[in-house]
Amino acid sequence: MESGAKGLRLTACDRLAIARGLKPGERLADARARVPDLATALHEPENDAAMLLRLARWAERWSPAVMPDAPDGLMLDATGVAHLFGGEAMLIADIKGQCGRLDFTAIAAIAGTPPAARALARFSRQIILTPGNERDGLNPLPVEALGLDPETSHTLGRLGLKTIGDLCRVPRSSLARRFRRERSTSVLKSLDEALGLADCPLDPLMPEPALVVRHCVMDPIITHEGIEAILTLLAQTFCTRLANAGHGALRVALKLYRTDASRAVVQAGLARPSHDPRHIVRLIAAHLSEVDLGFGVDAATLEALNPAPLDYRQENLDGAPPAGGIELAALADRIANRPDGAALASFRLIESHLPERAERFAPPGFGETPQSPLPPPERPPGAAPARPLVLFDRPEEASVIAAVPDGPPVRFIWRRLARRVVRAEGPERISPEWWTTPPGASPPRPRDYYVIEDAEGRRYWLFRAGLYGEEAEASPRWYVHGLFA
Amino acid sequence: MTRDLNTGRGRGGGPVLSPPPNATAGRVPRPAVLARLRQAVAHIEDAKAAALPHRSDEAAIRARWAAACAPAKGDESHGRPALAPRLTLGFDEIDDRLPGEVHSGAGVHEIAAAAPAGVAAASGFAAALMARHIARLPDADTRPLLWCRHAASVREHGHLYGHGLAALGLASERLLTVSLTRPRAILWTIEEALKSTALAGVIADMTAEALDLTASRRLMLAARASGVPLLLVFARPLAGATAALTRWRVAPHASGAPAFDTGAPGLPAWTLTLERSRAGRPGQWTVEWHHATHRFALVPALFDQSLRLDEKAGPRSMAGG
Repeated sequence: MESGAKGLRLTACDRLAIARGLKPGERLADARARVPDLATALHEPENDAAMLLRLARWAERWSPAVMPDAPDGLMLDATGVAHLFGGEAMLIADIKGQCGRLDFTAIAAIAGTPPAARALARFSRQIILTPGNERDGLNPLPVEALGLDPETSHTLGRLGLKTIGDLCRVPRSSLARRFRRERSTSVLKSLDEALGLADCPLDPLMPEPALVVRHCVMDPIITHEGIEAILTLLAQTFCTRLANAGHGALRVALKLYRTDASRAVVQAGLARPSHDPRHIVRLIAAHLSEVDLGFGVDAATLEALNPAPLDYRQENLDGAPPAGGIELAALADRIANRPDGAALASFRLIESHLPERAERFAPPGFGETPQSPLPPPERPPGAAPARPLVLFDRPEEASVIAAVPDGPPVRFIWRRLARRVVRAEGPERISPEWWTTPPGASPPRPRDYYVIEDAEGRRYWLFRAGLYGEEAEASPRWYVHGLFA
Repeated sequence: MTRDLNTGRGRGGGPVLSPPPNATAGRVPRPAVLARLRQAVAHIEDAKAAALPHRSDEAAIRARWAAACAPAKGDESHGRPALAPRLTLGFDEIDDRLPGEVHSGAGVHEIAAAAPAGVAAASGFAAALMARHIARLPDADTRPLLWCRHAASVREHGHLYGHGLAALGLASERLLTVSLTRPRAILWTIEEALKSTALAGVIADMTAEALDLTASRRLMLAARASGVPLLLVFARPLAGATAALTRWRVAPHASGAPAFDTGAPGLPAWTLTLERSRAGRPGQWTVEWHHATHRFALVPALFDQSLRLDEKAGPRSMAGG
């Protein structure tokens, strides 16, 4: 029941209530008067919508294109699907059986157009209408079956146009004239869509995957090992079909349909298109243990969301260890598809004088020839490396005592420890890149870098930001930017 | 010819070019094939390992036993590349005390910093060992390396710097890195990386708490099966028992001044303490890393004191074989 403008009214009744003469739309007081032992519950449209969405997701076991048809319908695109279940009649029987098991009363129909199917399901006992026979099949149905708004249906009824057949016999021009413009278009449009004269595409929940393979089992599976076995089966068919098309999957999804009308999805992404069943099974199986199987899974689909053409490449001719193409991509996939997954990164050296800009982390180029490395700076023999092993994301400030203002530090405090400098090399002056400074902003200060070794033998990379003797600027500051090995 | 023998061994999934066309098995007498095989093995391993039969009987037996125990099955069944050569530092004083196994490069080696502030030294030693390992692989082996970082360690001790790695002799274009938040995830990633044949070696930040005996055995088995070295870098010295082949403690050491400037720092120098060495002997040395030649060099005992006579020698300047 729900509360309307004139008190509480019944929204929906179950079979027993209808048998005792109640019908939706009645006032609760009247209903109670006739059926004193009436049990009622408050209507919750949000929960109904959520349940419908859940059912729609679950219904993807029959077809990848499912659209919830509010408030209580589902539209499935059964094109090319029915034969998987043994024909259209068997498909409908299966849908009814599965829904009946869940205590839903399902009324299903198949027709060439979505509105025709909807009209059949709601207003006719016929369940299958072959394409091309829409006119014959729909003619006896009332105009309400077109899904028009109640006001329009009512107006049509008052004009004596009680069935769709009546409506078809009226000249189109007079229909257009009779009603206000937008309403007439809506009547004509609905009619055309139902009869297949105008296109009426579905708007499915999920973009239709490029490849779907499915597997149904007689008894629900409640163990993860069983699911893995099904996954292996699915992956084999899946990969054969991908391979025949010369494609590899970049994103795969395993959808598990539970017996209680719910669905679990496990997705995995791949770095390179692949049709290796072992790899795909491994990626997905890593997540299976987290999937709640509920009361059991009785159907599963494996879908490729965006397959890409495979780039066939010979790794090498002489049988040398592979340069890490496919194997490395497989490893990167396994690392990235962990729940706390992190991406493999490779170092890209960039031509820049600023240390923090001279390097970038980038995804590895699986098997591609790496960029030609920048030549390392020439160092005299026996000299310390020019660049540190580790660099801090942010240079850490240090307080420094230098013998002369422009000279290397003699002593410095960093991370609250005083360190005595034993050896120092520098300065290496690195000027800011003026061309990367946005116009109007004050340019960064030049840096003087020193390689420092303290009495403990630890080696640091310190720099002084700013120069002495420039009155306009604040006094220079010292930072530790990195550590040498 | 040695290249053919070397790379053709047990590689699946591609045309194998060995034996060379001019020497098919039918025509070459057996001793000649064996001799060539020995030559190839010598090429792969080291001059050191080639001289194994001339060492003491015990060492030779031990080496042969170890070679027999090495998982050679993986070679045929999984198309694994050749096992890593023996772990050496390039001079006898240390190499004699390292595990004598021919393939001791394939296994777990623990490298601990003497103090958390010296993690950069431990990382540097690991990078140097790996650079040396890479330099001794055949040219055709261009597989990359993986360095698993611990996110907490990256925050505390800074991220790896490609130019700095290159300056240590480890080509940064061959290195991959991944930063993980939990030590368990690092253990998992290491094991996956070792199971894959795509990598030539793995370095990983590790904590002593995360690595119990079982975990270290697992890693050891995985590293053995894949035939690549796994270097684990710890921020503090280790106490417990693990299955690793060697355990090093690394402390930074004052470097020797370059010729052009006596006041400037020189080549990276570390005090290495070999705390454990399977079938070897522990010891302590001070070494320098020559990145151009991929060699370590022993620093003489009075090296730094002779240069800085006026300064009090620290306790860590003790050195020697």
